[in-house]
Amino acid sequence: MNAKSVYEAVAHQRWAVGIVLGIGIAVAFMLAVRTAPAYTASSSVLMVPATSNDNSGNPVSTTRPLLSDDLPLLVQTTAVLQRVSQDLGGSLQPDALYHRIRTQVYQNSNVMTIRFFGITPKQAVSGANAVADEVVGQYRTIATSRYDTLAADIKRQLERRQGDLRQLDADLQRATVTYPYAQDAYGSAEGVSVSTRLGQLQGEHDELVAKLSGDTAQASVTSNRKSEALPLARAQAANGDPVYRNLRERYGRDAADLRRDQTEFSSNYPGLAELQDIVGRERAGLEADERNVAGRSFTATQPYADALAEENRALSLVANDRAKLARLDQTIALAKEQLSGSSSARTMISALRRERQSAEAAYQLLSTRLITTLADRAAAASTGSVMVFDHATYAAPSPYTRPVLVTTAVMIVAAWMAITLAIVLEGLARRFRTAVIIERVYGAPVLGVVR
Amino acid sequence: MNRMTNRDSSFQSLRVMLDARLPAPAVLVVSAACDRDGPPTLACGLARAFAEAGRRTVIISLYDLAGGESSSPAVPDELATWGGAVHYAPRGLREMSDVVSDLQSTHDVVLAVAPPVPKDPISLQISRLAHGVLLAVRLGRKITTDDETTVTQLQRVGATLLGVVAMHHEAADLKRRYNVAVGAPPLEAALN
Repeated sequence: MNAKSVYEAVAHQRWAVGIVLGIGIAVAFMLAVRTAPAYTASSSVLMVPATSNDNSGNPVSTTRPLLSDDLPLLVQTTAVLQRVSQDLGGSLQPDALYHRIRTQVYQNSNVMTIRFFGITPKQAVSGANAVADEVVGQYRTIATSRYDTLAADIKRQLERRQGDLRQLDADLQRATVTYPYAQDAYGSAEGVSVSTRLGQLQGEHDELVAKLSGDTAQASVTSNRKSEALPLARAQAANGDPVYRNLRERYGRDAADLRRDQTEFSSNYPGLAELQDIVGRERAGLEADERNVAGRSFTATQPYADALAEENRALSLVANDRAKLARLDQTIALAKEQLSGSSSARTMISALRRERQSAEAAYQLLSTRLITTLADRAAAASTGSVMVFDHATYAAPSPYTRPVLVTTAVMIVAAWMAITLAIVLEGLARRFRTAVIIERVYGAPVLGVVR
Repeated sequence: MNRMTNRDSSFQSLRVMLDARLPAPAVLVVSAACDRDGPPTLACGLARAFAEAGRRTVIISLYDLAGGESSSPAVPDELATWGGAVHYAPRGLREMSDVVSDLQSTHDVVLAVAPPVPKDPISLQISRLAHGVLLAVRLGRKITTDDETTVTQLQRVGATLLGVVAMHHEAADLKRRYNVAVGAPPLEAALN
């Protein structure tokens, strides 16, 4: 079959060929519309090799350094594609982005070229720049991930330490409220400690005991003074009573007469016994009268009243001192009781304080570690070994993009199918191809052929 | 001196073969089984060949008689200037018979270009009056029932099928190009 016969077959079967080509064009158009990136923008990413003589003091990563050959794999990661999709406003899904990104790493080079196919020049430029930026961001994320993990762990520990400190503070507060005297055992400026207070109470007690002794002695003196003043008072009271004074004078005279008679006469002297009896009755009456007078009016005498008042004052001072002393003894006893009871509380508070100091020290240490970790992370992020080398600024029409290739392939296949179909249909068709066929159909000779 | 083309030589060869089979004067019907098989081209070529051979030749176009279809090919009036060949289109069947009888007395060869046989009975009628029928067949065309019908009908009316001329695609369409170029000539102009 030569070209002419093929041409004739196509010409004869032009309707079938046209239908097949039309279907092919429609399919190619649909494919071109579905995947129609027509512009290409390029950006470049530079990977700086890690150097061993880094004297910056920054932490050196223990992970395997990223190689140039790894960058294309990094571009195709889901994380990068999702971030690029977000950067582009979600207009392109990650699976669609996968087919729009082409990467190329030149041999013996640390530069990776990123090509992005977009429907519009703006989309192509934005896509290329977004991919480059996200690749760098992803690399830095990988480089700083261990710091992030460490920082998160330290933050969790700090939160736990903060909870412990709050709990210890609450326990200390409760212990302070429960044992108000115990808190001063650690030099608190507020209040007075039990021991100090007990010492003060003991001092007050001693002073009060001394004062009580003095007052007691004073009371004894005043009591003696009152006793001494009693006979005088009685005498004054008796002297102030005329009955008593007459009775005493008569008793005096009779007693004097009796003592004279006794000295001058014997016991047999008549009337002596009677006189003795009279003197005895008068003495008894005088004593009774003296008791009555003393019990009745000797207190009204000035000396005795003064002595009595003085004695009362002394006794009241003594009673006051004794009362104070009793209260002080009670206070001392209570303080001693508190002092003996606060020893366990003091031990507990001391333990709580030690624990709190330990927790605070640990918290400070963790805070320092967190600051150091964050600083290290910032250093690692800022000194990333991958950076955007060249941003895309323009997009060029893409002549050999996938839709073009697909459209071309579809059209070629459609043309091939159309020609094949035309040849097949032509082979099946009954036509006047030769003079023999004409003679067989018409039953007449072919007189000539006009070309 | 004009250079003879392959097509001209084909017509001349055909003319020689027909000269051997036809009396003088002769009436030859040129028709076909299907449209676009090229009877006008074949008739024009033959008329030119006969005229160049010194025969007084006339072409009768029966296409207008068949109904005046605007799409029907017509004989170009250029033949009127070629070697005495003339172009004539009769107005009706009676006139056609009369014209054919008259033309036989004045011309050596009368070529009647008729529409496809299965489509117009005038082709069969003129075929009965003619000395022979020459059918044009376009090479590469599909074989249809009209081909068998044409042969059968010609046999039934007693027409003499002289033979078939295979027309290549370009030759078969030649008349269409002529028609487009010059259009159908008026009858009076052809007669004059």
